[in-house]
Amino acid sequence: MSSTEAKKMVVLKSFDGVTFEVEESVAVQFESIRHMFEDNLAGSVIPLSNIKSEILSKVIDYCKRHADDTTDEEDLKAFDADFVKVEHGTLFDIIRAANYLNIKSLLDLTCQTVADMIKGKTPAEIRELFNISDEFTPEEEEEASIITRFIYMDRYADC
Amino acid sequence: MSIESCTDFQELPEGCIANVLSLTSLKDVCRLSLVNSTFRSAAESDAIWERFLPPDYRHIISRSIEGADSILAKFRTKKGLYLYLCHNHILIDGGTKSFSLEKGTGKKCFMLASRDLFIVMGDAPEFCKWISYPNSRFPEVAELLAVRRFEICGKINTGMLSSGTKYAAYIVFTSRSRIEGFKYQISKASIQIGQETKQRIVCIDPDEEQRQRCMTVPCPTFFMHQISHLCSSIDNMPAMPNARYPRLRGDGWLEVQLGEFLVKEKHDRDVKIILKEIKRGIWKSSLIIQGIEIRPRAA
Repeated sequence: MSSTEAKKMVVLKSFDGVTFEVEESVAVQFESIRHMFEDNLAGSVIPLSNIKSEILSKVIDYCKRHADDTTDEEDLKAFDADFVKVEHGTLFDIIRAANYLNIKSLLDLTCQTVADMIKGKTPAEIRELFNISDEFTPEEEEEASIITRFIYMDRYADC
Repeated sequence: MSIESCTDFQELPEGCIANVLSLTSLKDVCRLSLVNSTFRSAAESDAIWERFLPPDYRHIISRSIEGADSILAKFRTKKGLYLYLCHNHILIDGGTKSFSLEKGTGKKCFMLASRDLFIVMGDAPEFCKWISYPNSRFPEVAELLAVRRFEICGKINTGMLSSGTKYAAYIVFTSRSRIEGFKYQISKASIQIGQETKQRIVCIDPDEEQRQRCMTVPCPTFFMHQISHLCSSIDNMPAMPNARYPRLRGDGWLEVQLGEFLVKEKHDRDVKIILKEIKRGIWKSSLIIQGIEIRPRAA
């Protein structure tokens, strides 16, 4: 492919030292580091010291797919749906990476995935889902449920 | 050297946790605040509650008679403001409307004060008096002293309301003693949006429902005659069982639903709400009108 030569490339280095060569058209989605390669630092390596290679490669995959204008809407939706079918730990790592790199669409996708997981669940179910220990005293639980009742009180009940 | 994998939801930056919570519902956020302290502090964040407040809440508050700054200064958090607006109302547009939020959904509710309505004879002091009335949210309300024509009209733009929501309009009223002149009388309520008009029959007399119930058992024929005579006076009038009757509100006032309408996304239309007597010429008195309330229809 002769066209690749014309494309500007950006080199990213993960926490564990793996380098990834990415087309600039893909890397522009990394809002928070955009200025680094746009300020004519092309060719130099951009270190991403808190993203593991395993996660960075997933994030780059996502951005490649989303930078590709030829992918149609349905395929992209199917890709997104598949993309978030990962273990909780991986998903949280991707959220952290998307947050750090400020990739809005990826952050929206992953946060929505977690939101869908927790919707409608009881506090006990959430604790079990995410392996969280129960640290509230019964008094604290009571106080919080009073607030919930306050929000859902009858339409005209004045207080 | 290794980097800890973030297997723990709680280790996500607080902004991310707040972002996740804001994508659930208000009910979920309340419930999730019970999970543990991380969830609780995220559930308090302004980012979440700002999302549950209507997108134009700043604009609406800026129209308040107290002034936006004095209202916003009362609350350290957006949650505080949200809860306040769910349980109280603020007066806007020079005290001619009130604004509040529906509990549980955060959708916008307004009441158009009687000063904001067109009331036939409303500016004739011998027929209508403007009074301050205890337990009214507005500084003055209209008291109909004695009128032979009864017609009230209010207007609101759908752009002011929450989109994608079914709303209903209610007339909110009361009386010092007995409402006179509405016994056995039915009124016509209409909701007009553009060319579309929906009509229904309403009764203003709080005892009318009881009377109507008695009508279903054998009763003096002259009552039946009177009702059927009234019914024939408007086109396509639904059967009386479909009529709406007054209900007592939690705040002590009475209300009757005048009709429903759907506010679509990006809708910017005037909604005209009209309440009109059907049989003219009967003296009516002692009706105190607080206004017309427009709130999401209970699901």
